[in-house]
Amino acid sequence: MLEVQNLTKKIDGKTIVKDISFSLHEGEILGFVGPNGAGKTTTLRMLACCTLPSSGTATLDGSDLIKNGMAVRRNIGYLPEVPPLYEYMKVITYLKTIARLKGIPKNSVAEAVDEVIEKCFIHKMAVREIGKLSKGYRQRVGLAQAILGKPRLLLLDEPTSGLDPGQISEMREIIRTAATKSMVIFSTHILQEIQNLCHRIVLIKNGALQYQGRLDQYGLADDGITHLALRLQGETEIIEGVLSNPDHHTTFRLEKNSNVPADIKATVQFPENPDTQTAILKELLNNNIRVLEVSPLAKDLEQTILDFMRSE
Amino acid sequence: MLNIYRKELFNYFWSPIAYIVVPVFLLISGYFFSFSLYYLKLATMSNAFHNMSILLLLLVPVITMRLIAEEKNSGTLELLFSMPVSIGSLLFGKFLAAVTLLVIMLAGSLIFIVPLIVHAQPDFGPILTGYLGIFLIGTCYISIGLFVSSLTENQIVAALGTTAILILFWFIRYIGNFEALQFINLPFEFISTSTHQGDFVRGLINFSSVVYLLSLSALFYGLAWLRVHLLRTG
Repeated sequence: MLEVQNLTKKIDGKTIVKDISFSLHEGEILGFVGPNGAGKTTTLRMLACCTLPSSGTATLDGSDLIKNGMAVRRNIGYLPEVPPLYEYMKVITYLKTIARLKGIPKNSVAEAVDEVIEKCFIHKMAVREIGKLSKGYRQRVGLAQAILGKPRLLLLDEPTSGLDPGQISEMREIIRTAATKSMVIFSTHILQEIQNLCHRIVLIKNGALQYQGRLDQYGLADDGITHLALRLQGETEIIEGVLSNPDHHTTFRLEKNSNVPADIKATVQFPENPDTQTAILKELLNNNIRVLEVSPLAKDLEQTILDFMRSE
Repeated sequence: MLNIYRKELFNYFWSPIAYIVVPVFLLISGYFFSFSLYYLKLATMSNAFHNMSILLLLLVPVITMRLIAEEKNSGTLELLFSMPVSIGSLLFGKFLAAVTLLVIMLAGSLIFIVPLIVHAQPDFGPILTGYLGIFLIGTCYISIGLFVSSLTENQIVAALGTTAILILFWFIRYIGNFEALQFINLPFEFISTSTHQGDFVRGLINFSSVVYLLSLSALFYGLAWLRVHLLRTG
């Protein structure tokens, strides 16, 4: 378990990170979210023992980050934003070097390296010089070094930035697999990543923690509004008439399917009340409107997070 | 420490550094040695040692420029900081790798002794003390280079900065010759590395020279340690 308490970092008298506290349990993936300069990287660097906190502390499985730095370092895997690679080495030589530096026993180095090569899908590049690899492969090699030795805590700083969709998907899979044996903290700007990977998020801004908890609970704490996406077939005027019925207190938006003109997508919001939903659907059917699909609409998380990042 | 040492040594022999520095050192010092032996008819190594010391002023910065600067520039220093590697092990591994390259260069120059034996009966005493002196001066240069490399991310800046400091230490003894600077009451003669090199070449193992050169090494090694420690603690 990782426990972070009142972690603060001041550089040249300026507070970069201010009293951040959170905890992380086995098997959890924690997303670090915040605008540029929020203090995400500095927090990760402190947790990776790359820089000391000005005050506060963190313990990993009971070992204090400051008092017991060497023990903590043995249990950390860290991938900075720019993968730290020795360009002149072959992938396999690099990973063996890192394995030895991490203190993996001599007789287990080859096995540990083979394992991460397989996990990160870099077997075809194992004997290639790192300097000649594409960005995607360099990122994978960076991740491979981070997960070498199955660290208890994996710290990933924007691990998917600059990758193409296929590479992002592979990277996600690698992180998910790694999280079965480690606690993972990763920072990202890509909101899809947060939705796809994280169990919890920490929102950080101006160096201070703004929110920590489940992603689906952030800022969406029930606003008492039901959001529905409907696929309908019928006369637009009739649909508009039903949805604009003042009894239902709805707001709605209609979009026509350009390929099938009769097919209409309606996004509807109305006060949370099961009776209203039933009443709307009944009225549509009574007016000979075919209801092809009804699905609850996820609230606009992206917009919510963006609003958070932009807000003062 | 051993892992850092291996990595650094691998880097020297992967990159062109070792393949340029060692032959350049041997070719140029070999040329001056041959000139001294065959043209000036001096069957000693003293000129060769003197020329080697001056050559090292230019070649050691090439060996040391990347030691820390390259790690800082590529971000791998951060990675090393996050690993169970102490600053002592990190620096000593790097220092030792550079010293190994110095030893290889000096070992290559042992070949110069062959023509000496063929053409004359050399006095091995000054040869041994000369090698001891140049080794001590070389390690001193390496410590200075290690420290300067920790100050910057740019290898060229590290190399030029080291060269400047080494040249200063070599020629500082002549400062006393300038009347305008005579008000500075410092033992420039003693501070200068060239003074101590002269003793060794003459076959003397001057205790104060050994202590001075070791102290100078330790001072810059310590400064490098302090600098890296500050980088780690932020």
